[in-house]
Amino acid sequence: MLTHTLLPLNSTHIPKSIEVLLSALDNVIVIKDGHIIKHQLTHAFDGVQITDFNHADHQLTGRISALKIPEKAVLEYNQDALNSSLFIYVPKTLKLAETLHIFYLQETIDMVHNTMILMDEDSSLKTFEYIHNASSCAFNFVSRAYLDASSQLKTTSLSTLSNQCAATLNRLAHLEQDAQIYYMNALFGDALTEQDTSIILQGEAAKAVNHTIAFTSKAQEAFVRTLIEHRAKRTEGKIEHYGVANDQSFLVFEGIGQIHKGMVQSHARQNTKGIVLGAQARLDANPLLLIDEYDIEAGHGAAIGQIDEEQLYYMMSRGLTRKHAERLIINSFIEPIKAQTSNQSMHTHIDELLMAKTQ
Amino acid sequence: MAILKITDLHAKVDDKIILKGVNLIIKGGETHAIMGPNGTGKSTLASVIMGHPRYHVTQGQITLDGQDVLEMSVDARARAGLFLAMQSPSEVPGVTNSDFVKTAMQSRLEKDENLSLFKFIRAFDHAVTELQMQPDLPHRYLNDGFSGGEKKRNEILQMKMLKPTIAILDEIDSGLDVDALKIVGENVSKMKSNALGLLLITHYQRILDYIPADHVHVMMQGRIVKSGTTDLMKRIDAEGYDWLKTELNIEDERVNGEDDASRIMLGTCATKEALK
Repeated sequence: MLTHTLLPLNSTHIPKSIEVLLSALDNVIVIKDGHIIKHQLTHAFDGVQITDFNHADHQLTGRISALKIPEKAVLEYNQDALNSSLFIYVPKTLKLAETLHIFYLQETIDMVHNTMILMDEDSSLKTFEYIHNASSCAFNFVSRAYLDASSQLKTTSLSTLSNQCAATLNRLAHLEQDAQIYYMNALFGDALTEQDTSIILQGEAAKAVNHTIAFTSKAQEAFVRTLIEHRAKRTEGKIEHYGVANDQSFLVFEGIGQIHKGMVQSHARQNTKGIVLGAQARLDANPLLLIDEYDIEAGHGAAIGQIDEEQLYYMMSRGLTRKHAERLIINSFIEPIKAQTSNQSMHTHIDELLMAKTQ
Repeated sequence: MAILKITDLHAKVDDKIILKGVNLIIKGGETHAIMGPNGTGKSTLASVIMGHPRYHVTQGQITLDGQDVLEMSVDARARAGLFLAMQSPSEVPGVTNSDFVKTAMQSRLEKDENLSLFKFIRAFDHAVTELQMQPDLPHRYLNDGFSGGEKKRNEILQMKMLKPTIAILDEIDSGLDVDALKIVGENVSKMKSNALGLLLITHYQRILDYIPADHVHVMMQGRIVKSGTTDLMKRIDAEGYDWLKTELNIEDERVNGEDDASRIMLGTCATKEALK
């Protein structure tokens, strides 16, 4: 049974910069140092179970915790030292049109957090996550999702963890027949970051998209790995890695599309686009396709480099300064994230985060 | 009234001298056409005026209303009133046409001045209609996946919006079918006024049917070798360039003679050549 102790909470204070974002949002869960301090939902979420593991229905959590996970030290540590959790259960056929906003705030503890999302048959949910720290910490974040047949989950995640933080962000998803998952992960923070996403397409015709947008700056290092494993026929996986490496930072993208034998008519695609903005920055892309079947479609493309001089010349020839032209091109990377929320203060906030990373 | 003055212009790319003493004065209200066979330096002249980073001026001057153009960055030249409709405009995925043109227009205003969004949208939509382009153009990415003809129209659209004082159209007619050529020609002609000096660079006379030029120049070996009026253009159209080569005692009109491979290296113009 999955339970954990809660560490004492210093205060329920929410930083002003985040309060501004919260004020305009409906359907908000705020977790601070392991405690759910805000639980504000409209009636649309009646019937959805949203609580920590200690209060969750253990028959339900068991459906996820029974799934095998890779043997990895960060995942084992997450189980052993868990001090923060969130369980979300969307029952059969419930389709939620409104977005659930989840804020993960660290103030004093080393966060060891686990989120489990259980999507029952034919249900759907959209979440928008915000990850933030206030003090020096290690941030071990694991998010697991089980999507039963024909369910849909769309998760947008915005991480702003600071350079006082070392972060491991692990996401594990398991999809049954016709289920669809869409992850959009934006890394805006300065933290030493390892993001690892594994999506298993267990059921026929399941579909997954993982779209990660990472910005690194100063001496930061970030490692982004995405695996989509096709264990059934007619499954589709798409990995999109976008990044900008500024200053002397180091950003690595590793994408793995794996199609097992017999999983015919599956599609595995990858696309990497990276801009090396800093003179001493480095950006690596390692796209891997592990294919053990003939009747499939797979492909990967990568474009990494400085901003194209011809593009800049063209834009400048219309009067844009070099800075302006570069800004427009870099801004184009964050449009997909902004499209996930109509909240104006969030848009402004994303612009500011981008500005800080790409100056 | 704007005056663009080019004096004894020499320029090179990758240590290869392409322009070998170009002299030309374009005033507001005038329309000049530079004709000439391939590889004679026409497109290089356009790129040098705009300030393409690959080209280096080794000698001579370019001034716009007395200001030294060669001292200006590319964007400063644009803000000073120069415009180049490029032969192969870049594609910029992720940046919409509307954001791009809006930013370009905003860059021409003072710091505390703001572009009226309402007026901008109206003007943009109007230009889209006049050029008979797709109504979703503002939201499409800049030249991304555009056909050759769409790109050319998009250049003219930007020209309409930015209202330059000196505009250079580099082979605006290439890749256009007759209908598109007519639309582009009419739109450019409509912009003609004493506030606009035009320089058309072309292989063929057909664009001049729609945009009549009052000064016609022929370029060979990196220089303007002959200037005249529409009569010159008509004779070239009828007889080609051979009579002129004989008259001027030129055997090979190209800048770099037999060196065809190197011609392919010359930036935008060459991209198209290489694809042939």
